[in-house]
Amino acid sequence: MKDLYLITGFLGAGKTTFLTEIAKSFANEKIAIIVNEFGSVGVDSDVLKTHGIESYEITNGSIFCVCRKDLFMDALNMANKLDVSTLIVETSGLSDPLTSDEIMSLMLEIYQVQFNFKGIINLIDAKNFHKVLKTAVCVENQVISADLFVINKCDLATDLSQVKKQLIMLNSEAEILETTYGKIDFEHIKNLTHTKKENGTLKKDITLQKKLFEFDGKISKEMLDKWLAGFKDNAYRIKGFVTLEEGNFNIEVVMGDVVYAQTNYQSDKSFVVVLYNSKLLNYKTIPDIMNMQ
Amino acid sequence: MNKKQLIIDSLNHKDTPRTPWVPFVGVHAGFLVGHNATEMLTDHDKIIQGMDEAIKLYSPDGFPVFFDLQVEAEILGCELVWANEGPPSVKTHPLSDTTEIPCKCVMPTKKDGRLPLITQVMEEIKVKYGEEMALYGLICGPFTLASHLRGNDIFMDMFDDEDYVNGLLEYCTEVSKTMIDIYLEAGMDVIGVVDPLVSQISPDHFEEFLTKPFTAVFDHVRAKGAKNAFFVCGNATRNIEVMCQTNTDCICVDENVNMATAKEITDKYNVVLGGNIPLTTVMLHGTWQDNMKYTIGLLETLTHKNLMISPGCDMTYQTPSENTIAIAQAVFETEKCKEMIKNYESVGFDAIEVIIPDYEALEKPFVEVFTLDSLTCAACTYMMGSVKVAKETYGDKIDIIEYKFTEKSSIARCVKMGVANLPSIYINGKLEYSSIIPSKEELEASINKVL
Repeated sequence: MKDLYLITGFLGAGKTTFLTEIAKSFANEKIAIIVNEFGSVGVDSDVLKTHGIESYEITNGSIFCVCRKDLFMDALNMANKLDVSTLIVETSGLSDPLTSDEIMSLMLEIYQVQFNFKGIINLIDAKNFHKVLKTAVCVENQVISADLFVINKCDLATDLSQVKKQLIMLNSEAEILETTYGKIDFEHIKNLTHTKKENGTLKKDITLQKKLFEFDGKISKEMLDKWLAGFKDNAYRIKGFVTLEEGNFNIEVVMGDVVYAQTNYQSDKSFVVVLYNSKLLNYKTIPDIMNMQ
Repeated sequence: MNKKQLIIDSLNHKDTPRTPWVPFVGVHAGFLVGHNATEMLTDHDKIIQGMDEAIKLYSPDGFPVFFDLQVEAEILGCELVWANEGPPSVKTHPLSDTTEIPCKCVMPTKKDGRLPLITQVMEEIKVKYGEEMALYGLICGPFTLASHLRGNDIFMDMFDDEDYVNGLLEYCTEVSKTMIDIYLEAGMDVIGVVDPLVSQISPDHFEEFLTKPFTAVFDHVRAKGAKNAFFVCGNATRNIEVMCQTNTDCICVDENVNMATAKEITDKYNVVLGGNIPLTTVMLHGTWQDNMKYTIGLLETLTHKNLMISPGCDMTYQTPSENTIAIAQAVFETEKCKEMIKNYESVGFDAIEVIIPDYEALEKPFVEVFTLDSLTCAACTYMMGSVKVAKETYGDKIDIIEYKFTEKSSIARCVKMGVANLPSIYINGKLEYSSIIPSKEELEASINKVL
């Protein structure tokens, strides 16, 4: 039976860095990593390969993991057939792990697959936790379901004791670790045990929204930056492909930072997907990029 | 005679050997067995214990399994305030700062919120009583749900942004259909669509915004082979006709609606009418004789086909059990009960002394809100909410007060001031809004007139 870990945490909490760190700790074991396309900044699979680690992406673009349990289960089923001893799943930042126990039961029922479910590690962004706890319902569910908290980016925190207080109020059972750059003692991972959360109350977030912006024709990088600057700080995630005068790029914005990655992909059409909370961003205020001055 | 068949036959508009009796017992079941309202809505064993007791005492033909209109709202992100003697009320509204319609991919599932508890209770009650009586699964109607999600602004949106309201109602209708599927799967025979706020809008607005969603909801229940009922509270008199046009099997009303007038309309559409024993004046504060007398009054003045006897709405927590038993008795043995109370004269509330303010001598506008209880009645919550918003705007320039009908002194005040409908807003002693929740602008205009 394979060991299974779930890594949760809201967008920007540092899941990918953490994942890369702990993956290295499994150097003497064969492990596989499942990541969610939209939730991940992209685990550097080449780096992981040098450590003998395989990684798999769920590529159907399932943003709300909770809506598409089937995709997650397919990926788990596929990963179970690999010759590895441990599976680590990086969930989408917006996923709702309170359904994980149900998924384990369904895996057994549908695929006759059983895992040694070691536990849920919840990455907490020390600086922004108080904000996202207020705006995103899934954050509360991630906290409630955790078996281990890793408070990341502690060097940037303004009030760490308040973060801890909020975590304990929602879930007093999980151990709390503090760190920067996702580094923790490997023993905490190996000794983790999962506790089923029977009394969790599932809530839905009806303010989460996704919009696709498409445009034809080339624009300048300067213009795109200007367009993004108008709303990027209020969006959870922005991702897309753009044809610019400077070349073709995959772009991504996480917690305010714009990253351009040149690509050979060719298309006349540019598209940008914006993931946001409708209480924080009114999409109607986003101007048409082609008509911007 | 099978009690369940009696309900089904009645909802199929057939003649029945007697009038069916459906006590709307919610948190009141907790009062019967010594548990508070919150326990009655969250604790499996206590819910079952309370329901067993209520069923034993009240011998219902039909029975609601779980009465809380905030279940859907809680799942969809509203924060609730819990109470000891009433169902919870909604404190925060997730859509208060946005006019974007939620994604229809986000729907309740039976794993969410309190639904695992509720469906478990429903399944157990079905096994225990399902053969014997008709079980009602109650959902929050799309309009009240939309108000829970959006807050008081929805009343303004109905004037300012019709497309938004239609979009939000479309989303809420999908939620209703999802809830119907969950409750029918858990064994419910009748789906009660409870939408108290329907009484707070005009027939024109009903037709503009609500005819389509409600028709879709009732058609959905029918397509699944089950029966439905449309519950409203407050003065819905003007909306009875448009409610009939939504293709519902039954309309249930409270004491704000005259049963004889309403039945003329429901009979025209071949819709069952249920109601309307007054929750507070008769059931809570009256004697067992008052309850018998009121019930007999209904049975004597109304034709029995397409009629059900029930309380006006969710029974108040502390309703004396003998009063409800008396209603059941009057339904089962009408002639005998008639004999029992033939010389009975009701005491009434005239004897309670209340001081009416000297409205002419007021130094600043005095806004008086007459409610059933703003903590437990959704229409009252939103009407009181609009007055609280005005208080925030005007501060010390106005005075406000809530008179809850659950208190005897408030009933006496209503009698003295001639308050005919709840909820109502009086400004300086004059009726301004009766069963209509004013928008922020409307209420401010009314206050400015006397400022």
